[in-house]
Amino acid sequence: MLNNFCVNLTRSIDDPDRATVAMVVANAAVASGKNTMVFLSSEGVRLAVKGVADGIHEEGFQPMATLIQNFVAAGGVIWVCSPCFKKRGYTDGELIEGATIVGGAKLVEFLSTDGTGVSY
Amino acid sequence: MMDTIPHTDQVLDLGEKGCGQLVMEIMMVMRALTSGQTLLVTAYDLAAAGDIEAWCRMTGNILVHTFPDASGNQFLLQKG
Repeated sequence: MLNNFCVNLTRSIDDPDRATVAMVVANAAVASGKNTMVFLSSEGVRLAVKGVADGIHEEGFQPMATLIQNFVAAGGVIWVCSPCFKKRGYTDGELIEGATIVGGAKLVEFLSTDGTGVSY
Repeated sequence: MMDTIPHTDQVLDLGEKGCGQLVMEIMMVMRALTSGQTLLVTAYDLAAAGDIEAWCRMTGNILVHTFPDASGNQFLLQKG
């Protein structure tokens, strides 16, 4: 059974429903013992900025900030697409706890080393 | 511990380039080198260090040393 599990998330405040479901799945993966990584790209990178998640709470789900906190506390990691982050004018000082700026090679290595994933 | 940057067979200044462009340009230069030759890469992207480490692991090349400086990082690579 594959052990690296990636949730690729390209949405945030532009599609809170999809972003929330992605984080729910990420929580399920890390709770299932998978080495789980959320890859935030495109609009998804905004979730790695302090305060942004506080404005997302979809009906029927936990608030986004809680989902992210639980995910990181359970050992999940959050990788943030470097060019997507820079393009939106953010700096690394604005990152939430548990988030790391990465580039494509890190993602490729993660997925090609005993990995699989889903994309939202 | 390596304190000074040695002579290398090739140099590559990537500036702020990152992600796919970063590893593509490294690959293009490394492709012209022979096994054992060295390349000094300068890259300021926040993700450069992690990307170069991962790229070397995947491609069989060697990250010999990282030289941190005030303006960015320099990476000494050796073709595997």
